[in-house]
Amino acid sequence: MNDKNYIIITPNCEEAYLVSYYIAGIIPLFFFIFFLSFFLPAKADKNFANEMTLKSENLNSFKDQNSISLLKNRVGSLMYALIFIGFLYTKVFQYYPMVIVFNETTPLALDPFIYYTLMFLIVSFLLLCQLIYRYKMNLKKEELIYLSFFMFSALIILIQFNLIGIFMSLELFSISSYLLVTGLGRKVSIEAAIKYSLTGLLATVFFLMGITFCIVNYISVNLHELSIFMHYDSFDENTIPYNAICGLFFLISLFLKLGVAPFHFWIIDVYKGTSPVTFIWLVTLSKVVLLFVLITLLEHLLVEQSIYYEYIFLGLGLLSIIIGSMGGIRQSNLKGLLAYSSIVTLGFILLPLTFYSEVPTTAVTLSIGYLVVYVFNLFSFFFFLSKFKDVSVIFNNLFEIKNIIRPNPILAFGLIISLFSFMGLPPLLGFYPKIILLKALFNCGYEITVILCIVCTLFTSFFYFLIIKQLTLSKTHTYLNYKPFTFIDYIIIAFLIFMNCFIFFFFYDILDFIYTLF
Amino acid sequence: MTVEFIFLILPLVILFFNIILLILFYNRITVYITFLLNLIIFFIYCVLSCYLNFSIAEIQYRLLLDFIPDYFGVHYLIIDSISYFFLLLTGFLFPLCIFYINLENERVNKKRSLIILLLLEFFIILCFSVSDFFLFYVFFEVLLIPMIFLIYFFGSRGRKVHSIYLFLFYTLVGSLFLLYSLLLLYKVYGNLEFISVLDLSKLSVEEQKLLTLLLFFGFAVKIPVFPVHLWLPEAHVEAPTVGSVLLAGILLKLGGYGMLRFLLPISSYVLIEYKAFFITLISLSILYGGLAAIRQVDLKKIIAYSSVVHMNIGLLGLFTQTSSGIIGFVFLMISHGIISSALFFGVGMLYERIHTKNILYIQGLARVMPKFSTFFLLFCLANLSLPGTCNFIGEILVFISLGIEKSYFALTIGVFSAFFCTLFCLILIVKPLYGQIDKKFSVTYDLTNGETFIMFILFLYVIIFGLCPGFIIQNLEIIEYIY
Repeated sequence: MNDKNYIIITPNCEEAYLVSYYIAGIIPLFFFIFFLSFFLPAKADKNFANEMTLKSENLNSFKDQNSISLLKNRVGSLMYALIFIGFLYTKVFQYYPMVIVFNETTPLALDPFIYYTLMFLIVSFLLLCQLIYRYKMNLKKEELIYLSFFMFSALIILIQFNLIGIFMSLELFSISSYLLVTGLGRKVSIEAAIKYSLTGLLATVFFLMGITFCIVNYISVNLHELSIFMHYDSFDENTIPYNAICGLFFLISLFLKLGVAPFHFWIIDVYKGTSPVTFIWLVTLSKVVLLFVLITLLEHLLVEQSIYYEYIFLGLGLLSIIIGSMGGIRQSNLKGLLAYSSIVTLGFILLPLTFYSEVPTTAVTLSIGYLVVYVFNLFSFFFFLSKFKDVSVIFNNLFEIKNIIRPNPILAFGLIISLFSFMGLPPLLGFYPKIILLKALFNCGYEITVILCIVCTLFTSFFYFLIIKQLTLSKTHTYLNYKPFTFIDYIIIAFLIFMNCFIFFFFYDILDFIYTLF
Repeated sequence: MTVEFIFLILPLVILFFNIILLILFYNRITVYITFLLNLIIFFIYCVLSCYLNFSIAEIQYRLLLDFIPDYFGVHYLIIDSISYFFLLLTGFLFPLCIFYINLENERVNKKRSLIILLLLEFFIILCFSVSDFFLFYVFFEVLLIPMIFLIYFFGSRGRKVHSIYLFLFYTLVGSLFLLYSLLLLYKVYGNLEFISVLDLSKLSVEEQKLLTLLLFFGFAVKIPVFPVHLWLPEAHVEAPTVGSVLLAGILLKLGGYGMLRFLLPISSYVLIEYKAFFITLISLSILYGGLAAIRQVDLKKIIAYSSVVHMNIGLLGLFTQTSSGIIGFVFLMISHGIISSALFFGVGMLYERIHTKNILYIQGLARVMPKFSTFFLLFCLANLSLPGTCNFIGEILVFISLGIEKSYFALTIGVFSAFFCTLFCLILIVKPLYGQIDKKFSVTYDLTNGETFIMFILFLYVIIFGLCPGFIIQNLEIIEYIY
């Protein structure tokens, strides 16, 4: 993976400063502009008092129209900032499609994989902002600041090409997500935030340990230099265990933050304590960012030792699939259920990395393909859920979802299609990454793994069918309230159902596109 | 317009536009058009019999589906002399079902049920005309979704949730076996086409044994064979009339079709090792089905268990590996498709009038419903394979092949099943049709002209295939050369 043709810009020349300003300066600039929006409108100060009083009132309903318009202004400005960042990165990417800038302290990089991950994240953030409107979330002023820090650090992580930069932006990212979990300050949320921050800090310790190992051995934090050093050291048998342990620290740290099976115990409690929209941020986007970090580290640091990690990926992947699918069966809480389903998905994402030492690009393509499909499925699921009026009720107790197929058949149909897609029923989106992965595993001779995966898929389909049963088959006649559809909603629903049903014809094109990024 | 386009794509295109037409405009005229278009599809398949050469054992029409990426090799749509009969059965039953839906009263949502039916037909036609295991597996699973909706929306009673659970999870368990054998076959052959499976030299003996077991259990769920048959009676009882007809008439045949296509060629050398096991299971399900059918009080459950018995008698013929046994299996599947659909139509018509399927409440219908009683009697007699009806031909072919193979245990079980068949068919005839008429049934009206037409058409086919079975058997003889 190191034979990419990067343009390397050496330090202390004028171009280096210019390009590093281009690449790194865009994100802080626009977030600064976004922060200004907190002080600009005079209306905001008037409503600030209202917002504070809301805290003591009913927290789930957000009746104050002024506050909603204020929220709309702020989230809107956040969306504009994101759109401008995306636009400017497109321009930079046109001139520097593959570049590493050696500034004095912090090397930065931009290549197609980074660029498209950035675009994917920006689009997902825009969708999140849309979901904030749709769920009519009661966001405090400071919560919006945490959210903006969350986005800011997620975008900053992508362009870092050194361990210190990755570490620092990852910390910013984690701290803002701990704060987001506290939400409106319920007791459960605070408990969840404390649990989350404790595991996060443990992960941080491991990450720092890995960085220390690198610095002690190679006196460098630059990924490009480290990969070259490690490549030469890989012929020297004495350093191999040292480097392998160093890599293990990074892996454990990331697995802790992701919640892969033996490190998954915090994930259910934390997810149950969050508010709906925070839950969506955590379950989708933190996974995208952390897996990006995992792949970057694999690509540059761990590639020489990846043959030692083969069985780690295989074992932990299988363990996650088994534990996730078994644990979800008795869940009545939608958040807990989706937490277990995210563990299963992580297992399926880690499994292809087993082949990383032999066919790195294919392995990464398979896991990213799975992740993209999972994120798409989750977004479509949450979009459909946003049409209910009492969202938090549904999120807390699955059995509160009553039969909606008679009052609102279109919504029910969309939800059922997206859940069948989670199940991996053949014509739908969720089936194809799974079958391609199983094909690859089987052809490499992992028969037992394939059998376990297939059996666990049956268990997962059991608990997804539980939701479908609640949605369509329950015999109650008291219906939940749902919001009326607008014209745009119909277009979105048509798009989602179309993507789910007809992905059959162009799924390999998506995988080919991911393959060409490396 | 090539011949391939007309026979392979045109039915699908017609169905696709028909579904869109029904979604956009639903009124009496479009319903009429739907019926006509389904008749056209049946007509296309009838015309196909003139073009098809039944004396060569090759794929005759094939069309490359180049817009589907090569998930597991190249994908084709094909027609050959095996899949033709199943397509014909599909094309025959669906217009009748649509005709029946229009006869039903206005309570049911006809638009929704018509759309679900057309979707089912679309996927069933695809399932019978794809050339490889992967797409067969995909459409085999897709059928679950419209079938679940059919049971949910138009199901009759409260246990429908339970029956959907059973239906879904029994099928998913079966498809686990299929998925594993699919991956194994792909690893060995590099593609999954029916023709490449015929060449066994690439498979080792262990792989052949493993695949035989996996494929048997995968398709046994759909047949269904004894330990995995529980979903069938439940689904039949809860499904609406049309759903039961299609379930018994076509969906059970998917398992048989899969066995013909995959299990038979792959197990041709190693079946001798598992024959005793398979035949024991099948005999058990014949005896169990027969005994269970006698004790049921629900009319639909009796017919469901009788279909377990008949499909399993057919399987006995399949596992003899002789040509007469295999022909008997296919013939029995087709005749069972006609007879059990007719019986389910009959029960549906009865339920429309008296709103019960419980055999303990129904008595003496022959006085008030002479036309219905005649047809129901005739179909029950056909179900117990009276000579002169099509079931008889199939069963006798199977028994002859068992005799040739000298498998006397299976022959004994098969012949004894005729005893149970007679018993539960007599219960079906005697309890509802004869005896003292109940006062509350005295105002029940007889079959309308449309309903009589459906029963008459079905009965015509029963008699034609029973008296001149040469129509089908001549054309099926080529199976001998394939395997």
